[in-house]
Amino acid sequence: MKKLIRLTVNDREYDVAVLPNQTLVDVIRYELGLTGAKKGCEMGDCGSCTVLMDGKPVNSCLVLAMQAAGRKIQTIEGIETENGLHPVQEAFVQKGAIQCGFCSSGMILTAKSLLDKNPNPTEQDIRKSLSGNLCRCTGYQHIIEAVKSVTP
Amino acid sequence: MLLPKFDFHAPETVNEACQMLSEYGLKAKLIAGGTDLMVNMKKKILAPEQIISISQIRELDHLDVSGDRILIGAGVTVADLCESKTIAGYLPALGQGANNLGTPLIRNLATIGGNIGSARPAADLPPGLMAYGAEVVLQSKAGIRTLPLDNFFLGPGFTALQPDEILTEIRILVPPAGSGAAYVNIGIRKAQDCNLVNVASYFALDSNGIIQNARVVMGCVGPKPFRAVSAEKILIGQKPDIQLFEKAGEAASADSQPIDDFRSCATYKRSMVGVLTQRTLQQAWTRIKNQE
Amino acid sequence: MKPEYNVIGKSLPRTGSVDRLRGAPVFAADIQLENPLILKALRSAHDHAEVVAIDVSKALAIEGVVRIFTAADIPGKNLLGIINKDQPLLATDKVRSRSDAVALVAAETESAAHEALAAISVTYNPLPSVTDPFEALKTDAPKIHPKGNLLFSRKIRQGDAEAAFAGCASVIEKTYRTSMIEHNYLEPDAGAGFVDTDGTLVIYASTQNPHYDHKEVVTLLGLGDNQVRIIQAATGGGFGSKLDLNVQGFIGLALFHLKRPVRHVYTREEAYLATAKRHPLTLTVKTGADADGRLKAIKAHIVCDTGAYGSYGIAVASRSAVHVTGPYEIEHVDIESYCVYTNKPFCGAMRGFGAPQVAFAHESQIDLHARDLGMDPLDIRLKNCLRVGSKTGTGQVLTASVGIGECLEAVKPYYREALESGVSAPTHPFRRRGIGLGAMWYGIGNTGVQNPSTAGIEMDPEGHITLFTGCADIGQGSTTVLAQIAAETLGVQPAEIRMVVGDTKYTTNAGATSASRQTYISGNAVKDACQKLGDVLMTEAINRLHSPKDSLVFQDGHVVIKAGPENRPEDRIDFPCLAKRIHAKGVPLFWQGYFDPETIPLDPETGAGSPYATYAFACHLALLEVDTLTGQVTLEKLVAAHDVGQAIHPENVIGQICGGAAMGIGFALMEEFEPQKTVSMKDYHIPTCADVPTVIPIIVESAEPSGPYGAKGVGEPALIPTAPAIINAIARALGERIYHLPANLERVLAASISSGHFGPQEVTHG
Repeated sequence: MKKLIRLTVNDREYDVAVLPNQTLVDVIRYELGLTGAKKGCEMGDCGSCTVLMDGKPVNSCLVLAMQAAGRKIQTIEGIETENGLHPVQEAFVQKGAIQCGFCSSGMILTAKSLLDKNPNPTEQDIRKSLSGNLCRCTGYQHIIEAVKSVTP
Repeated sequence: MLLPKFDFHAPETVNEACQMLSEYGLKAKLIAGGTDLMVNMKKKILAPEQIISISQIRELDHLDVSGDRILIGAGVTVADLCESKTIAGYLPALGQGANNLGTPLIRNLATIGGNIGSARPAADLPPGLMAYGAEVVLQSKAGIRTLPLDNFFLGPGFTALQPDEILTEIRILVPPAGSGAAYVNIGIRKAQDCNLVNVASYFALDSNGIIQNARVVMGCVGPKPFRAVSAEKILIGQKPDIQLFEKAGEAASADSQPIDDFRSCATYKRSMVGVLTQRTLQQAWTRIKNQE
Repeated sequence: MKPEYNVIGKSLPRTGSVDRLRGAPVFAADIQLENPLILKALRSAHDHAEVVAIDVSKALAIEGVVRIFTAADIPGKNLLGIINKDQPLLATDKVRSRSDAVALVAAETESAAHEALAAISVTYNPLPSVTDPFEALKTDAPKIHPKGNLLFSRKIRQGDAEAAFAGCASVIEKTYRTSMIEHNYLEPDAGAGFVDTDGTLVIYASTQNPHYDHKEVVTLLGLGDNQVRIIQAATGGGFGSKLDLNVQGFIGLALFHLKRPVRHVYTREEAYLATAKRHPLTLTVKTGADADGRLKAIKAHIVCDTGAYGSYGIAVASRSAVHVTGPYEIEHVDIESYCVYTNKPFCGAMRGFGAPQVAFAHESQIDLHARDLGMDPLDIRLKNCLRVGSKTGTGQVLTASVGIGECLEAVKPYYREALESGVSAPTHPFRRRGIGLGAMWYGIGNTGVQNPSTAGIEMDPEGHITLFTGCADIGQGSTTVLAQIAAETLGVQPAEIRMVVGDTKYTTNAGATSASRQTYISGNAVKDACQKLGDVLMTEAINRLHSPKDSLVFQDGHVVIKAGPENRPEDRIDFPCLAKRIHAKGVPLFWQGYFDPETIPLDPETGAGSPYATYAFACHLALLEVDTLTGQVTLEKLVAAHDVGQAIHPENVIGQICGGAAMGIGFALMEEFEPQKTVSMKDYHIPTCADVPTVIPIIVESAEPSGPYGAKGVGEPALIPTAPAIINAIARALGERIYHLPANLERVLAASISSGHFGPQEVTHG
């Protein structure tokens, strides 16, 4: 049985009818049409589906949509400002941190949440924070350089 | 990947949740962070008909020192444990477990109650908690009972929790002066791994520097995390030193009951129990000495 | 003197980055379609079995199930394969591995599709199976394909290896084993499709080779070329596995029959189960060196386990035979390489086509000789490495762009510094540090077979330029690089060139994005096309500027008389003006470019030939620490020197180097795919950013005369030297060597134990 829930995604409120067994990533992708969160493993291992829930990065494949009701969700589509790309997005372009681009949304959101909390992270902080977001293309080096290059 | 079909409930109090559990019994599963349950449902290992979410129950979110006890609500996330000064100050072995659990993303979802309740033999938090002699508080409609964590685990995925009970709180005595503990795990990668072996050790010295109390807890080397009793016996009554830790490691190795699986063979796990026992004891001792 | 370029060698922003980081629906799973059907394939329940009957009646009765296809529904030829055709899209008489698809469900919803999979009843008659390639070669082994289990063999013989060993001061013979490896691109295979108003089946696919897909789908469905259109969707990594047909055939079949939009997205589990793997190799290598450390002879016996189907297996066997000498001059060569069927998931292309596996062996061998002869590992490599004028094992004489010596020299300062700082001196009771080198060579393009590329360039009458290329950009950045080559040739900025990429309706065949071939081969095809267009523009400009051709250059969208003291307007003419005039004369402004590297096929008996037109070279240095009590390896630093000919886009080159190194770390230390045991990413471990050290990339540019602006390739070379460098560093740390990859915790610990490092250790207090 579908139930109407209210989701706050990128500061916009959506009333969506969801099934109890729908995951947050599926609702974001298929009901809201926001395709930035990717499905890479669906078991919480790769981080491609990362969204920010109350500011913290989580695997949206492991969250039931109904559990997300009332929480503040942010996806990659919601971090741009009126001035254009978010500084982390801009840094990813400048540093060539995007190869195939499948991990990028998750990587950027996790990096953003790190920088929100700690504007001057060490390389070790960055590597620890991003260790739940897998990338198979870049060897992480340009990604880490991109995060380092974002100055507060 | 599809999840089984179920109904979803989101009670706002423990009492309300207990009421639901008493109604649904074995047909229901509690969900908090969901990091274990969701995977088990996707893998079709579990197919509950009712899901009761407890993540919005605020009374499960506390982390306090109350008198001589540290009280941790079952809903406290692993990320919160990582950041907590109380944990870092009083229970560093638990902090080590928390910092090594899954990934930063998983740690933002996973809860201490879930990591205990799912009863995985490789879980990161139980060894540290057992080393500190933690108790768990179990609540049902009928009331509240407490149980040493030692007696809580029965086997992989099986616990002493009754179908109508909720694990609500973890209680740990503030470790006495002259005590120390540590946790070390080995996985294939430097981050985000299912452990191959994990060990937590705790010991407390009396005023003469003699070990009066010791607990060594091993994970991944049996159907549940369990104590290396012969290692503890070797430690108690002795002065800590390398040779003693080495002997304790050998005893713990002998106490372990690893099996071959496709991640790793039993021989490897058994020898790692010895190495990690030594290393955790060594770290615990360093922590004791640093207090002085 | 290095030539001066306008855009070659500049790291411009990559095409497509912004779409990706804004979450735009560019991947096949994201593409919006109207009410698509969901496709799911049913896979075999056996390693090897006859398919006696398939009963779909129960499944069809499920609400939302639209159709279930079996082999009988395939209108054309139900046999696929990149090199040899041996793989049915849907099983006919039997299944040869658990990867084999038996039926295809089309349903309105994912849950109906899943239910249907469970409700299809297949009657199998299980057959004896064989999973070990050596067993499979025995005469009484179960026969997997009608012609037997030996798919292919490659021999390379030169001189008299046996006789040469007799005169060697150091002879080493060892057996090396590598594991089956999963590509583990982040995007599981995906595709979508619809039937266009003119009846064309339009298929979006995550793919490395849209034109191959097109040919296979057309044949499968018995259609004309114009009736199928493949469009490459954004492709979330491939590394070789998206060269085979994965979802494309299923989508084509469903579109053919149902004429409704469909989507087929693999779960991670299916991507693991049903797509190609890296071939596990077993190699016995015997090498001999004289007292000066000069390599004299090699004898190698290589067995490549290709699983149930050929895919690129023949190429792997061939390339591994050619490359097992390493980047060294060896006079006497006796090599045999076999490609063998087993009842396992099929193995195909994966970044390096056998070269990473054989590099593990040749780099171990050369370190063993160094140790045997008391030589320094870097010195022995420098002594033996290929040079201009060297003859390879296939008798090919290298005439230019042999940068291995430069790569070795480039890592030398790091190597010496580490040695001088006493890297291997024990400083800790249970930690040992080690340093290791890994060198490699890699032939660009396919082995001794033709592998052309084509490209089209068009200027409209207003002077706008469009480049058409079938070259699939799978994240490595080829679209950006090809735009740079076109821009350099025509004197414009890459951003001014509109790119049409990977769409079989508009682009012509550029061949596979594999074998590190696109920069070199498609780059040349693009350059060729641009030069043809350029010729037309120049000819028109001569007419207008009244100046001879050799006085004219392209500059900022103009033809300009060069080296004039003042920049007079009458000395230049812009493209729109030229285009208009050329167009008015009816001269074509669309030109097709072509390039096929000059190779000579390998002789079937001796292996003599020139299998590649050019080679890339590299050397990595690994610095690491081993925990001698747990077997844990911590990488401290990787230095990676690569001869790429000319870096068209240095940042992309570095991206490839760092990404390859990370994949090499996985290959060296942790990755192993075990059929039926490895089912999710919980069971298969690719390095996280905590496992990967900082890489120091060094770009060596030994220009290749036949390359576009001197370029070769780097995609695969990036990965190849890493594992050997790591293994050699572990051997240096422990004094004991590992011969079986991955060097996982247990194997490193075993090496530590046999070297005497494990055991009661003095541990310092505190």
